[in-house]
Amino acid sequence: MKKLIAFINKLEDTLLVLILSTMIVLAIYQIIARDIFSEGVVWIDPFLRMLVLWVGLAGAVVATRTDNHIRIDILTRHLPKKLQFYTQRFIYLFTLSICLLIAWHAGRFVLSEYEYHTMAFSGMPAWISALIIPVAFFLIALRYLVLLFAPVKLPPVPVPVQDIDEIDKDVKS
Amino acid sequence: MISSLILLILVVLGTPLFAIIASSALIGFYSEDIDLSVIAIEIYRIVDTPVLLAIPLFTFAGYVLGESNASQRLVRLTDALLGWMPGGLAVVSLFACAFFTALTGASGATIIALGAILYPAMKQAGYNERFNLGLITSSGSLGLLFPPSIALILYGVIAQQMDLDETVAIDQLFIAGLLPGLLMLVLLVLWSMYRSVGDKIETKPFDAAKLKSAMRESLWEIPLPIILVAGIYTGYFAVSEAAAVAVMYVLIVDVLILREVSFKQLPAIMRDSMILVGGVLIILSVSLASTNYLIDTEVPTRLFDFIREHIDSKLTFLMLLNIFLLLLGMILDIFSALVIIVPLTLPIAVGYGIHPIHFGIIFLANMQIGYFTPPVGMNLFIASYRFNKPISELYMATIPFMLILFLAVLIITYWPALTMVLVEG
Amino acid sequence: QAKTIKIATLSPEGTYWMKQMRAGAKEIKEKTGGRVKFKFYPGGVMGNDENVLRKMRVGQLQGGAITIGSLAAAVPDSTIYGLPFLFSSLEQAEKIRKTTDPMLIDEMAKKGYISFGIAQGGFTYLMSVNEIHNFDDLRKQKSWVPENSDVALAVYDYIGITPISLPLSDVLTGLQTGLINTIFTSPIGALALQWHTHINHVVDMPLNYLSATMIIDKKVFDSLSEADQKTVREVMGKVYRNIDSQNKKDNIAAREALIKKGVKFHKLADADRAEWKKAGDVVIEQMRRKYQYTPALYNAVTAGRHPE
Ligand code: NA
Ligand code: NA
Repeated sequence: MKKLIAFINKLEDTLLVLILSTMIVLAIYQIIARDIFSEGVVWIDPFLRMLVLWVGLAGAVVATRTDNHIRIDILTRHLPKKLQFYTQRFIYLFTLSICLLIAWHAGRFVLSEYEYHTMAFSGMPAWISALIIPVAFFLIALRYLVLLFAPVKLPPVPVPVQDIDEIDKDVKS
Repeated sequence: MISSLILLILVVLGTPLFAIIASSALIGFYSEDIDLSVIAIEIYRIVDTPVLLAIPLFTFAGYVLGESNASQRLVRLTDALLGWMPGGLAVVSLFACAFFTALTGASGATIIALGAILYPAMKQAGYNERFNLGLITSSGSLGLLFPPSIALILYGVIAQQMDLDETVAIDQLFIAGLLPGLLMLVLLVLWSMYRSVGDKIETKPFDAAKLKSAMRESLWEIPLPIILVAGIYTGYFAVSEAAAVAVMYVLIVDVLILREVSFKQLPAIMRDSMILVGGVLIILSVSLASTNYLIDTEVPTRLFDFIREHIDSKLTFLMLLNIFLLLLGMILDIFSALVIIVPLTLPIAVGYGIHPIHFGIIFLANMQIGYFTPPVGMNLFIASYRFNKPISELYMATIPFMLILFLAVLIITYWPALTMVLVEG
Repeated sequence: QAKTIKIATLSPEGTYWMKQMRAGAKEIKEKTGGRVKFKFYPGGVMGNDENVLRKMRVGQLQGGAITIGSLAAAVPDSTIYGLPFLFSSLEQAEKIRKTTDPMLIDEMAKKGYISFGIAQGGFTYLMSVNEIHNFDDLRKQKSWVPENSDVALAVYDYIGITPISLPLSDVLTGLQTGLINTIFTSPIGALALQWHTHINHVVDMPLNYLSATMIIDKKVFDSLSEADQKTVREVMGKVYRNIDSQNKKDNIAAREALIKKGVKFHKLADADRAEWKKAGDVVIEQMRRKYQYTPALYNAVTAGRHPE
């Protein structure tokens, strides 16, 4: 099980890096083509906009690994440990249900884009470009399901995302 | 009503805000009998917003800079430039932090990267411990009004969703933020000078040789902000193009030329920066849906009519706005506040004759204080973690800085010309 | 019982377009005794035309005022007025549209979109910092093309130009910085978007014809009583005729305004003109194959292409 999770982590990380690298290469290529050679590739801009959606949602999936989402944390820290345990489980359950609901309706949206043959840009059907929405929300839900039963040890204070490596090590060991 | 109450309880229990915003949108659409797949249509509108490309690119560039030794070089350079002034090191800290935050985004990187250098240095120079802590903590958000601030970009994106008479271009926002941002910086500089005289901190003479060597050291970094600022202000680069240039620049300088960041480190930097971007974009995407629900049911218009009935002067409105935003800044982080509150308040402010660009600067100036306002100011936690100090000590340390910045916020709010003069000029 | 029809559009509040539609809505409400009400979402708050269509599909909106071509995926015929070098004058377009508008509206109805009339947005023209007469001149320019404009791309492809695509919002800056120096838009568009401040020369040959329409979901429209349907058709039909004729006047005025501001319109020599028309022939044929136009409509629309 731990091996599987470590593998999935690696896969997600790789995808994230791949998307961002593509964005960087294309964005820089487009500037050089436009400003130096005065011609541009028409599909690069809409493709980059699509990748913004992809990188954002993929980033959100990876952030869920350590439940690293923006929240207002006024109360929980002051609750007794035992109560903290239950409220946290409850929140995971709630968040995972919301994500499943979004994934379901986003799936319906993707299907309807497929049926109506909408194009995102030249050669790219909108349903492919939108596919990341149901997939990402489903994966986030899955992550919260894992957290529900096997919560990771979270860093004592919010932020420093660098700590995700420490947690990855925890998972692997 | 009951559902709002339940959501509120979920908020204070620490539910991720994206889930809260999404559920409020889902509940809203459900109650209006609107197909819930509208939420996906709205999330998909992310692809209709070209400027958003700047967010992942700038964030990544900022993270690479944060991993390099740019912070040390920046401190040495500002020290050589400004170190001779009374309160020299404090002034250096303020300028360096503002500059670094502008380039890296107010993600806490400033406190972590620059704090590690500035905090011990100021301690050694004899600055009061509490002043030192307060200065570093409150400087972590000081660059928020300077380009390429992601918060400013986000405000522009949200404002462009609304049907306003005036346009809100991102480059105009960048220009508008300059003087208000400088005002905040200058007020804090004056306070630091005053304190250093009181603490009897020695001044050191200006050293041209030191400046020369510091400049030579920073030879590669100095051009980046100049290229970006000049590029954006002359309109040569669109904002997202400037972001691509920034990425290209830091990769060439820090990875290829100076070799302070290795190729092997890049994947981890990419991942970490995109986690931050993911956290922001998922909130933005679901908030497009909640905003759309508000627009569908004409809530802003009705809210405006209601407020109009009770408040008739622009001045009273602005006063209430300041109080409201400060309270909001205490509990909401800046990105959530932007996406939740701007769609509601901006149309009202415009109704009172406030220019949307001025409103954006007021909003962010208020929220900047929120970064270190108890109980949940994010920078308080980061500083407490970084310097290993109890959070209550940081609460006390930041109070004078909060008051000074509040004064700046008042000036920014009631003197629109400060914001608008460069935009209209 | 009362029915509220929610209509979204990119057109901002306060435009002639919005004022006319609001006036029409008021008249309909009165004439139907409040049974049919309209609610408008102007200024793009519901997203672009594509999003308006998506929201009509899921029922959040019941209609929209959109550019006709954005219906392309559902009604391929809707792209037909946008073909290059199709009409040679506003009058000719008007004459042909008398027969073809009803045919096009029928095709839209078959696909579930009830339209009450089509309003012109005038012709687009090639506008540039430099003087352009032929394709050689054009090849030396830095030409802009809007994203998603397959017709424009096909024309440039035929000429052998790789244009620079920018979102509408970046065109003005692009002109200022010299990233681009050649654009195409209608005289009204050039003035409204301030692009004219960077334009010196216009090729005086209409490129393509802009048009927009208001549509309502057929299911929603069918649920109205027959009398109410008739009222809506009459009133909104009148509204769109008003908008159509006002837009024609505005475009003629905008052209005059451009000339007054020192922009030069250059008539083409016959040989150059033939070269442009030929490009039109090729691209029209490409689009005919791509969109599979209804033959009767296609023949009627292209009837006026080579009158000489
Ligand atoms: Na920027
Ligand atoms: Na805060």
